[in-house]
Amino acid sequence: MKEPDNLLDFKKKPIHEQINWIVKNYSQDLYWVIRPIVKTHENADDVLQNTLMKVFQNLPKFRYDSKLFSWLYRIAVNESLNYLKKHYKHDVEPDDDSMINLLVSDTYYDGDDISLRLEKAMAKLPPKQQEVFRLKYFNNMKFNEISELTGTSVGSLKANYHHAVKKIKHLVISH
Amino acid sequence: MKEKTDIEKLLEQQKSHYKVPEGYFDEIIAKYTQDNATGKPRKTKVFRIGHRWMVAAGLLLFFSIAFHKWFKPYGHTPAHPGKPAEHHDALLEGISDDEIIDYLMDYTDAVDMME
Repeated sequence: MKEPDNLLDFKKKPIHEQINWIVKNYSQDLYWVIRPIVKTHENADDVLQNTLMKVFQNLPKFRYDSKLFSWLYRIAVNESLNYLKKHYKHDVEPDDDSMINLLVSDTYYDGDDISLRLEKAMAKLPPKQQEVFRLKYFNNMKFNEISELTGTSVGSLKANYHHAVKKIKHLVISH
Repeated sequence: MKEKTDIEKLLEQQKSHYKVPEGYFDEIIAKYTQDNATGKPRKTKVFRIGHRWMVAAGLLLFFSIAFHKWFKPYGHTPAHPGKPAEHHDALLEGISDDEIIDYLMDYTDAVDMME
């Protein structure tokens, strides 16, 4: 994941320049963090804009003691989960079919039967395994990058990923 | 190993089913980097709050000057008609009662003579 060349120099830049850099370089990555969680494009658009506003408000307070994208990622995930709680009036369970129905109703999703089976299988995974999957497939991240982002060791991530693949295979075939 | 690759392929296909409107990210970038295009720095919250305080302080100063100019509290104007008795006392300060009585006697004598 791209980071500013020199964090100290970046931190000294005027705040609007920092914001412009973040928007240009991370909008797309943040969108693909958000979209698999909130499913529809309309939701993802709302959450991305909320995330950017939150980043703008809190950037002057950010001390750059962690990687910039790690900080942005945590904001995006929190905003996505808060959005689901607020707009769907309940804590969405990992295997909640209502989220799959939401995805089917989205005009910006054209998945076939197999894709939906895969979605349902992914939704049944424990949160940690889901997270590794989302980051690997929607953000094309490597294990060491995911490790920096989530604070989980590479070994643990690989184990989670391996279990996730086994479960998905089982769930897709048994359906 | 082959099975894992199949799942990975399936996942890759699944990812491609998620669509994004054309030009969406360009719109987001244009919308959230506007200040850069105009060259105007974004106003900070501190400045906005500071500005409000300056306006409030200015209004307070204006009304305090206006109050003292137009509604001067009673007693600040010397020899104002109808001023309270304590101001007469202030004017007579340092003059003894006998001196005042002598002055009044001379005054009445002078009036009597004129009559």
